[in-house]
Amino acid sequence: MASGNFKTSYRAEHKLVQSNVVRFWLVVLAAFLVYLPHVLQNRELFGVSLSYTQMLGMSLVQINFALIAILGAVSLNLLTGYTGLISLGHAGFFAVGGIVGAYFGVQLGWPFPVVLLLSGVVGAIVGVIVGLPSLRVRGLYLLLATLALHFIMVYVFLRYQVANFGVVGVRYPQPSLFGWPISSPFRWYWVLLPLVVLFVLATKNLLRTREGRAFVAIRDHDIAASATGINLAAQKLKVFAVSSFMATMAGTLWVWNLSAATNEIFTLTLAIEFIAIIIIGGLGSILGAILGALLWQLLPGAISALSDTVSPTTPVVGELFNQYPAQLNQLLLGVIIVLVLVFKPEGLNGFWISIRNFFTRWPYTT
Amino acid sequence: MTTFLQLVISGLATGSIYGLIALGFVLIYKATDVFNFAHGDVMALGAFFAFTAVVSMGLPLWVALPAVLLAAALIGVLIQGIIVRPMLGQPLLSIVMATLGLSLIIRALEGIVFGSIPRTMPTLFPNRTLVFAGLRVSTLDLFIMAVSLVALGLFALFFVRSNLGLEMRATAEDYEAASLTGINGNKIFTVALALGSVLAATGGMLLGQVTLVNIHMGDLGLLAALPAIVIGGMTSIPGAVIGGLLVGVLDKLALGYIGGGSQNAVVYAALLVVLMIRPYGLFGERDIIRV
Amino acid sequence: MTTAAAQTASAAEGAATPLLEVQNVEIVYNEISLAVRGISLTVPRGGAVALLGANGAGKTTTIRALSGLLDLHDGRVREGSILLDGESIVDASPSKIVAKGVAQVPEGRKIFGHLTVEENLRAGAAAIGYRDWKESLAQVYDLFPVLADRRQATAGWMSGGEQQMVAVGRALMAKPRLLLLDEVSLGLAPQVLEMIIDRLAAVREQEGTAMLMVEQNARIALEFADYGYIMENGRIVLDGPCDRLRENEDVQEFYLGITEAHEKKSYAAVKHYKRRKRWAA
Repeated sequence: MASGNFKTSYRAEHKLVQSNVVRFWLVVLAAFLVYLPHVLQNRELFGVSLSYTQMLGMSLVQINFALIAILGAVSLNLLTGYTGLISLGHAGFFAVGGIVGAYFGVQLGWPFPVVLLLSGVVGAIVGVIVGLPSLRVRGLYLLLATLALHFIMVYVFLRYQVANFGVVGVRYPQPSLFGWPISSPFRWYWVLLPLVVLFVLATKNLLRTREGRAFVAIRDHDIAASATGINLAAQKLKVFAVSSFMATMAGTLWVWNLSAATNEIFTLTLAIEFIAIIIIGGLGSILGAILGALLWQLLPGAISALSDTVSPTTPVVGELFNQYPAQLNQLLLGVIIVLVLVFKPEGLNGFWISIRNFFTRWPYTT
Repeated sequence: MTTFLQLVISGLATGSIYGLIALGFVLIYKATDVFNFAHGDVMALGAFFAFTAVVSMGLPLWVALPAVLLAAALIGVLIQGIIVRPMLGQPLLSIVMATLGLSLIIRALEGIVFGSIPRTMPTLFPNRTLVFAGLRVSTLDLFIMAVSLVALGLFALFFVRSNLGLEMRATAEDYEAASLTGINGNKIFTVALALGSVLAATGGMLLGQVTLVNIHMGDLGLLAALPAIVIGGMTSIPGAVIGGLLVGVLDKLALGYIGGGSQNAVVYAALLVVLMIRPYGLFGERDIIRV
Repeated sequence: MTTAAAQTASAAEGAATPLLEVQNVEIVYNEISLAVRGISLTVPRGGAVALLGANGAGKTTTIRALSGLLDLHDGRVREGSILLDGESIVDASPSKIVAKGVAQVPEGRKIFGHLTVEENLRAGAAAIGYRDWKESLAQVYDLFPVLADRRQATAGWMSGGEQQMVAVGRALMAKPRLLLLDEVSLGLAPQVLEMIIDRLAAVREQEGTAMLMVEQNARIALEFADYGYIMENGRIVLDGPCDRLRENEDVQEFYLGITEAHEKKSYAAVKHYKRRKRWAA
């Protein structure tokens, strides 16, 4: 049992992979991620065949959406969890991603990687604009300001859509990466996974820099932070820019995975769900954002898989699972949110830390 | 010009419903510091309960009305016990999220118990159309506006004059200090949530008279009440009602002059403008923070 | 020498049951950090007791326990008892405790910023059901004429001294038998402080209200009170009648800032000093 983490050089402290144990588990994780698509597509694990129910209804498509959700969640966590700027604007940024994708990708026909990068850049610019209210108001009022901007961004999408694509919506073509068509969920997985890993690592790194510490300082006590010389306006806008860059990119990836989009998919519920998952996951923790996003995307599949095992004749539960799956999904999500917040406000990340501490400290209890 | 006035008048009617809902919301916020995102869903519950009582159970109005209000008060007490009380002292975002979770739960339950088919409420209140100087006004609209005004008056009086109102305001300021002073914080929260929910349910019943009763009413209620509260000011009771009226009018004007789909954007753009210029709303009070 | 014996010996009253009796109380936060490690103190009827100590000694925690606010801060009394007039108040809710006659003037005033002065004072009577509140209000205005002049002013904008008066007045509105004063001197100009202490002494004389004063400003506290306790690291390390505490060499050096400049520090003197400093474990 380690009694502490004592580094003897700056080099050692900077190292991304802190110890051999961590290195080992990272290799295991990498192996798992590589093997995963095979498991999901062929429904077998090391030669053992799995049923739909046993796999909890997971599919590669779901995992792809989960990866996009992770990108969105991590970017929101940077904004809300680390810098304390509460924002309901993320669905709006997805809409912006939809617009950029539609204009540059569909109307102008530019190559996908360029469109993706452009969506990030445009997103960053819009993010700075959306971030302006944060210079004036805070807390609840900021939440409402971002809510207002959500509606405005979605309305802009509507006008754009109606003007250029009609009521039926935007159709996104199959993208290709420098000539390699992304024609299947499997290929999408291998585009999304490195992208998400890259951005998660970048965010983790950002938090280790001066800016990152400034963000946390702003969250804890912004007036005190400005007294130590942090330029509040610049840092707030910076974090909005970075967060929106990633969120808008995630939005573009999202609509491309859906192949079509109308203004109605960018709902307020979506924006709320984003905040919900970072809270369930654990505010201010990247692992938390990842866990929350995974839970969110994989829950419906798990429910529909379980509903196959529950016969319709079982009282109450049977009816719930079979006739009202959508409501059940919503109900469960709501119940989980309330339970987590009332009993374990640090979220899933808190659970993880408790478990980890239990093992690190065993046989001591505290 | 007549179009404009017509829109304004119809806007005032729905606006007074929004004001009523906003009033309940502000009451809860002022007393408990909780931004109850499930408030719109409580409003919807009011409409659903009214439908059940009047149509499904066939109760006469004088029984149904108090029953619905009582049920709403009980919902408020439940919310207080399950969410507000355990989460005392938690950061704002957590409490907001808890109420959002609650909102999901209520909506899911509504969908399961009441089904997703929209219902029509029978008109319970007099509804004739009067014509004034070329403008059409319905008595139902006037009745709604009257109810809202009365509610406003009663609550403003209660809040500012009565002892319970004083205790509520004190508790909203500083829960610990209020407890120190001998105010029973728990009692205050329960009363605030019960009363706020009653107001929301009343708004829901009235709304059920002018639109279809369906599971998306919760959205409508909250969406409309939020800007009402911010524009009016989250800490001001008359502000909430006036904000509600403004939102109702803006909503109808946007529909009339710009077209469908724009209402939310317009109303929220107005909210944004107010937030940037007067963050505490047109009537709100500034936060007094000693650094 | 037990504290109870010492107090009854030095007090001229010889009251039988003390008003407040804290016995061997241990207070823990989050079930992990022990903030108070077994203290005992008593406040006789109509008496004035000072509780001194540096930051983090556990004074505020003790006061919180007396007012029933530990739960709000994730703390609880793990051992021992707190008796008000022989009745245990350890599990009582804050509003019940105020109703029983223990009112607190909290650290940092904690007045209701958006309410007016008069509303703040009126709120103070909530615990006793607003019984005779108009009378009590008039009495408070007599005590603090400044408040009478500014009764409709918004409390949050007033100066520190005025806010302190509001906080004291609000506590007095509950007609307490015991007044708990937590760091009343913080942030007050000396003259304002003297005036408030003066009025408190007047209240004590007229109403016979007992007072427990938690203070960092030892000088003021020792002048005001009859009996004093000194806390360090969650324990009571010294107690006694205030005039004797004032003479105590250690109290003088550590709390009153009166030191002797030694010409030459001999080894014996340094060793003696170290031994003196080890009051508590």
